[in-house]
Amino acid sequence: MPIITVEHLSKHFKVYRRRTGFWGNLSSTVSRKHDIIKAVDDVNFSLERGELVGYIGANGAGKSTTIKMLTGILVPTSGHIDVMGLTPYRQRKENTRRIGVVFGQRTQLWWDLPVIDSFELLKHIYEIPQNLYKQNLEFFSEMLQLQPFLSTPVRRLSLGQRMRCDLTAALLHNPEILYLDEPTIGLDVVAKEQVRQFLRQVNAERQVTVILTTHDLNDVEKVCQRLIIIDNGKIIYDGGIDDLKKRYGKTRMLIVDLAQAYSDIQLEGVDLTRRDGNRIWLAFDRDTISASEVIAQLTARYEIQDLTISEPEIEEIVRRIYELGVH
Amino acid sequence: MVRRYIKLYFLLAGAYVRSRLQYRLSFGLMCFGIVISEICLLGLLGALLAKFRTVNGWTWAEVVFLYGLGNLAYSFMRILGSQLDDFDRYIIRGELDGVLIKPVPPLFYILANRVELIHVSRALTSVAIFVVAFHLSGIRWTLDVALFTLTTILSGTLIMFTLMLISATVALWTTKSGKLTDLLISATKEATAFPISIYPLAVRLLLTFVLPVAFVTYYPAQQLLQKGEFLGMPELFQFGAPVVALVMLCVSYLFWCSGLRRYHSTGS
Amino acid sequence: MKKYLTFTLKAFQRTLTYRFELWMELFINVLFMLVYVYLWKALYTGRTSVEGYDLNGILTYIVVSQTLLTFTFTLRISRIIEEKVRTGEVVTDLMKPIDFQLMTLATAAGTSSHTALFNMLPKFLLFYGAFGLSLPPSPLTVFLFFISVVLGYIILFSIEFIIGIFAFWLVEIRGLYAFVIWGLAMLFSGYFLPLEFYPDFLAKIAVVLPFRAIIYFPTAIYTGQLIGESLVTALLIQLTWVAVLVGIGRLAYRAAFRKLVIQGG
Repeated sequence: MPIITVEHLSKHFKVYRRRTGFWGNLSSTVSRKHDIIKAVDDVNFSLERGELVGYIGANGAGKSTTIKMLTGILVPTSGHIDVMGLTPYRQRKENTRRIGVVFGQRTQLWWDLPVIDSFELLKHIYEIPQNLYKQNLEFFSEMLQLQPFLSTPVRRLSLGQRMRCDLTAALLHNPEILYLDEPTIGLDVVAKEQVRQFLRQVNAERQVTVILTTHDLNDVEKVCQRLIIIDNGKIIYDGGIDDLKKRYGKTRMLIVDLAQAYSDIQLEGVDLTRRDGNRIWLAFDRDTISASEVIAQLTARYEIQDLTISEPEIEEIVRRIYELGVH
Repeated sequence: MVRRYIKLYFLLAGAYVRSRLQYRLSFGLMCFGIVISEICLLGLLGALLAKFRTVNGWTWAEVVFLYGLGNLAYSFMRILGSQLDDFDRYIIRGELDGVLIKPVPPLFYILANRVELIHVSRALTSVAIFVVAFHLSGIRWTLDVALFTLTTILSGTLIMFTLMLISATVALWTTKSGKLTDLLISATKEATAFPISIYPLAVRLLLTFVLPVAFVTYYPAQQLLQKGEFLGMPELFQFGAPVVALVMLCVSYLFWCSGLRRYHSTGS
Repeated sequence: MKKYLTFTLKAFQRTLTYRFELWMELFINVLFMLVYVYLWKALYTGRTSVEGYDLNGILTYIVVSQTLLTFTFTLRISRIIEEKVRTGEVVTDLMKPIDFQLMTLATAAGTSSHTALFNMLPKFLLFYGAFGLSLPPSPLTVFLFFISVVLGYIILFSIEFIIGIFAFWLVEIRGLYAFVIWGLAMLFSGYFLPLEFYPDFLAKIAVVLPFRAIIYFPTAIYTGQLIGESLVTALLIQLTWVAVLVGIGRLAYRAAFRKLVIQGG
């Protein structure tokens, strides 16, 4: 029995066209025309309890729109959502009691008050029983080392500290599902790692189902077991990360330092993906051409100083999926 | 259930007040500014009426009575509903999403999140002005009068609140409303400070049926001051304030709900 | 100069995009002005002239002053600076190789010229037509009126700018803003009634404050209340206030800048 089921989910927006120029602007004050944008277009997926899923896509791909529909903020244009047996936008209140949400860019905490005050307020808003509240607060403040700044006003926290508090705030009421919208945005490397480790731990120890939108693919690689990629409102990949590497990871990257900057480089069966001075990046599919064949071609035509072959990073794979689509 | 919400209201309001008190100087200056501007406005009004004696047959005391009545309703509304005057912030900064993921009714949450004690200073000034004007207009205190006055002030507060709510809700369609709500409420408050008999018919109709602030001051004052000046409207209007308040409450709440529905479908 | 004009143009265009706001603001403003116009009509029943103003004169005064008051309503420079300080955006602004005060003024001018064109002008024309108001006595007065409006605008801007800069120290300036703009400026600018109607002690305070230079001076020039020598004096007083307040603003933002550099905000 999946915890979340999404069937044929679509969300269309009207976008008003702005005319340019002075008179265009002026006439816009009287009447406007609009286009239809399909932010989410016939999306299907389902999640089992305890999964940890990365939901990724470029800006405007439809990530946030999907999350907003799952949390009950947005009503779908068409399609069906089932979250723990509830329809989020119809049973908004029941749904909110059982989910936790973290928006990376906006804190849900009371800006001018000590952190602990926010937690206290949330206790009352979510009607968390006192003993559960105490237990959870202890658990999280130990895990995230919140103790030193529990009585500091939120506005004085660093971004990383604030995110740790926001995570706690979202989990105090023992939600079954945790939605995170760009939780690592703007954080430094250490803070990012802390957040990632925390998510893995919460997922493992408390069986919280986690959905995470991000455009930092390191998040996905280090945290998630499953990856859903959305582009232009459509899901273009849904599966395990290893599987993705297996399917699309046949591409290898050859990084070559040439002796001089050749103006024109031509090789068969190889894509020149990047170029920086004398260094070039060549991508090739190991099923159609072997590494030694590529190197042979190269040495025959150009003078080479150094070369390395690399496994594809997930980032590269996703980039290629975006560019070429799924085959 | 009701108990829970009352408690939650005070908790949230308390959190806001504590936040504001972090900036004591600003808080103090603001209270001071409000009191000063209230007194000065009254001074100007006084200077004006000292020169002209009457406005359309209304004496100085009677006009101040109207002014005080409107101001009372206005300041109570300001204490409880200040959040609505820059409600568009919730949409522009995406804060409404944060409200919608909480297990409480959105309007309740938004209102409770800002209870503006600064306006208590205005309320106190208004009470003082009103009591003096009440006395000067030669009204005698009886139980009836006291009850009627209280009902009038309560209804007036609600009427102004609903106007504010309607105006704020518009932002759910237009995204940005800037200072519109503030402007609208100041304009209507200003309009209630004078007997509506000075306006042409169209404005009187507007203030009676569209932005029914005439029920905040003018019509109830007919009863209290025994002016008997109805301008062709039913005499029953002097008792109409609570009814108008209730109707407006329903209308504005329905409007709010439909605005929220619209937000649910566009998200911006 | 050109780079500052870009700010003006951008702010102008930004404001253009909010069409609903535009119409509603106009509607409410008209309502506001109607209240005052009819109040004065009621007050003048059975009178011909009070304090040198006849009915037509006072209505002209009220409409012009209420129109100019729109600047005070819509200019939100101090709030914008406060927000920039809060978010830290001000740092990038101060590091740019441009004058922060001038840039802010240029931006404000963009928003305000939009307001002038799409709100103040239609509003004024509407009332001008509906109530048969009078024009300034001569073309020269029209010219001087506009000069005075611009000077008054710069004074208003400078006051708001200084309030905004206080955000570097106070963090929160809503209180200061409310006190100065909603308290002092509203009272002493002469928007509600001409200064000639003020009781003695208020009139005396008004003379030493800059606020009458924002609304009363230009309006009184328009209505012909200030002519000849008194008109020139008014303009000189305005110029003095411009110099003083712009100067204070500069000093204040230099100090803020130093504070930022030394303490890192």
